[in-house]
Amino acid sequence: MPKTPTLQCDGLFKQFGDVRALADVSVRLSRPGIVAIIGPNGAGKTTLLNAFSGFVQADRGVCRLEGLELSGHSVAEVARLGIARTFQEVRVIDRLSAIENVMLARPGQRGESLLLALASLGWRTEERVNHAVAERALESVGLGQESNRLALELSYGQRKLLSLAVVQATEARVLLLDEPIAGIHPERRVSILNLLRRLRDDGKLLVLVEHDMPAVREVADTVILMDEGRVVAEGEPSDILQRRELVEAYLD
Amino acid sequence: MDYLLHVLVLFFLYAILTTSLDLLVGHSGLLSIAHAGLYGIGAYAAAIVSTHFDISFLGSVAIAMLAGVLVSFCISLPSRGLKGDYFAVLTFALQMVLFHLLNGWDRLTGGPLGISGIPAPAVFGAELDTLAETTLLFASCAGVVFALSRNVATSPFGRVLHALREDEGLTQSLGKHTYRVTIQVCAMSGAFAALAGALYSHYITYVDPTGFTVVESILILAMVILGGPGTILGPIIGAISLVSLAEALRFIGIPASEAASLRQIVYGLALIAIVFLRPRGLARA
Amino acid sequence: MMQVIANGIVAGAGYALFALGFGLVHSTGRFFHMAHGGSYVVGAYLTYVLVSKVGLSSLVGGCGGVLGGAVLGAMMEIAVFRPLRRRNASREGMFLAALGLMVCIQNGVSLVFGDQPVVLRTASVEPGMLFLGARITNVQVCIVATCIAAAASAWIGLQKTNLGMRIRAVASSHELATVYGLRPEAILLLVMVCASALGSLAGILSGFDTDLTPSMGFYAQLMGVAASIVGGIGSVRGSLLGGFMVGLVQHLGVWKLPTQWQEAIVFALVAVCLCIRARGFLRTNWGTKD
Repeated sequence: MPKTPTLQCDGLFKQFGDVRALADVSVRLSRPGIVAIIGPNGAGKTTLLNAFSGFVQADRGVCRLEGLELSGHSVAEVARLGIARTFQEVRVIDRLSAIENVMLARPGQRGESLLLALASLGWRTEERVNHAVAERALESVGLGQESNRLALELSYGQRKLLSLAVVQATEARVLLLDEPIAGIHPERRVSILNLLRRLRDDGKLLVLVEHDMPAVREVADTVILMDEGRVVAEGEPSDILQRRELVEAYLD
Repeated sequence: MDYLLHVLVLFFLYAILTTSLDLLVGHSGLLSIAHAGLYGIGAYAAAIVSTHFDISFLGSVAIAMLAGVLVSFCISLPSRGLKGDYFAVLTFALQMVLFHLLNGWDRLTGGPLGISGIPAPAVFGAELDTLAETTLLFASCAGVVFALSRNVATSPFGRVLHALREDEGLTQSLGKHTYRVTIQVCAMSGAFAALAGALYSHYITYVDPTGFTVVESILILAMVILGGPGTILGPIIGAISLVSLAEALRFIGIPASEAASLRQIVYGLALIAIVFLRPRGLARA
Repeated sequence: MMQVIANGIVAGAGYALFALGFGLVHSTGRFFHMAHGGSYVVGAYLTYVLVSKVGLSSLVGGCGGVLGGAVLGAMMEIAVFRPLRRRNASREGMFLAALGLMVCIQNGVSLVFGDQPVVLRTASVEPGMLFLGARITNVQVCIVATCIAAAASAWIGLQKTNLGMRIRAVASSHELATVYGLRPEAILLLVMVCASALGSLAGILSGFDTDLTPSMGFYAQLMGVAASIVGGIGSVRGSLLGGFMVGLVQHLGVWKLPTQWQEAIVFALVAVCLCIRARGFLRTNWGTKD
């Protein structure tokens, strides 16, 4: 019996006005693994992430997480099923501190129930654990020193790192990362690539949309090349990025 | 002396109202101008049950709070997806609905004449016959409301609210029950507003609809915004300042007929002044 | 039945007129002008003074009222909205400041004139003419006619004139308009003046139809904003459509209901319309930030 892919979509179509963002996209991705989706601007890469995370409902076609159909589930439900994501425009909660941003992301918090919150009961221990986990997540992206600063005081690169710490803390099995490397300080780059590898080795599936080709070459197990809403090529990075005709046609 | 205690009672009353409104305005980013309506629902619920049925003070307060929860729950249902000034306009309309219910349903509420003869507060059968005891009752209620609101604001539940106030989409993508949390906080805020209403009607022993207009809602909102929404002590400071201001106006010799209008003008000016001071965010930097 | 519809149309014309100005301010200034009802109530009371106390004719008094409303609008813009805009006030900030202004204006009027209703109607109440089985007074015909004329001229002004083009440029982007050498602040002031004139016109016309009270501004404010949102905020056609819809809903919705329930139900219906439309409106604007 063939193994059920972790994340898959079949015949996905999405139209925005006159623009065809997704045209018959089918992919099968299994964990553990790092998959990079590459392609020119407007190829439909982010729309694909949006479709997987429930932000966009496809016109046609289905997305599945471990065989379970995702269409019809709200963004929050998809998240609770085990898909976490970051955003291209880097979204974090500005008026929360870095560590609160990460703690917010922890799943299944009892203190999020109004009654327990009112009574101030039953969540203090859990909060301490979450605090420790969050601190480790911040350290893993090199923000250990910034944990008590408000997110709005952080630089663009730091906010991007913070959002990586946030998705880590969700404990989701699938992480959809929209341009995690671009704009990161060169000194941090290596450690972020290592972090991505470590997350894969923990058994997660990472799907990156990324323009930084050297990074893709270094870290990705699989590359999916998209253009005009279609999957043009799929394969190992050494293979795809070696093929001259593809690189010249789509990536320069 | 009695006058001072009366002012103190007003402080505590408005502290309950502002603390509960701040749960919405400050912590959840829901700009509500229906708070006086909820306050009125509490006041009338207490007035109606305690004049029609033989019910203890505590029972009537409990029923009033339940009514506040129900009405606030109904108000929060359509809140999904509405934010900022759109939510404010919606609550404006709902405030008008609540006011006209109180004003129009005269079989139940006495219409514009209101309800009189509401029994004074009594705790476990012992009537609070001195003003000092009543003040103490108001103070302890305000203390409980304050403590509970602070618990909520500093808990993981509050963290979800704070996240929601800024970026609903992101909060959802972290798997949070954004809708449920919004409804719950509205219900809680409604319960506290109704508590204030019930305390008020048992204290004054008389209610009429004029205390629960949209302008009263704006006044409570102005207090919250003046003190700094989303800060734990701010709304209480706002309540103390505007109540003191209103009482101070009494002493500069303005005829009673004009005092009410003048007071409201001062509130309006205060609201404008705050926006001038903190034009970007309502929250204090 | 026809009478109910006629009343709905007359009320709707008033709301449309209000929504027209409110929508103009919203699309250029990008905030909910909650003090628009201030021009409405001040225009009406000023006309009352000019007609009943000074003894001018209704027409001259009405013009004076419109002028007064426009001046009030200019004052609000210069004293409050412009400085706030320069301080980069948020939408919510502008909303609250306008709400504060509205409270001040309503209570200012109530200080001067008292809370009791005053009567502006000059002629004795005529039975009105019979039209399709509905009794309509001259004033009511006048309200509907003025509303349509004002809407038509607003549409022509916005679409066909050079000034209208400049207003639309400012509405689409303040920054871009500056790049093209327009002065957004001057245009915003002009828009506020025109909008306030429309708002006070609505107030004056309703003043000739019914009594005046200081709280009429708040009532009109809510109905006008609802009309504006229901019809699609900022377009002339939307304001008209929304105004008539809210007016008809108001009168048909409570038809044959006991009077004590009417007001509450009207506002409940307004809330329902608001909910449905505001959400639709936000959804169409999904992802765009201004």
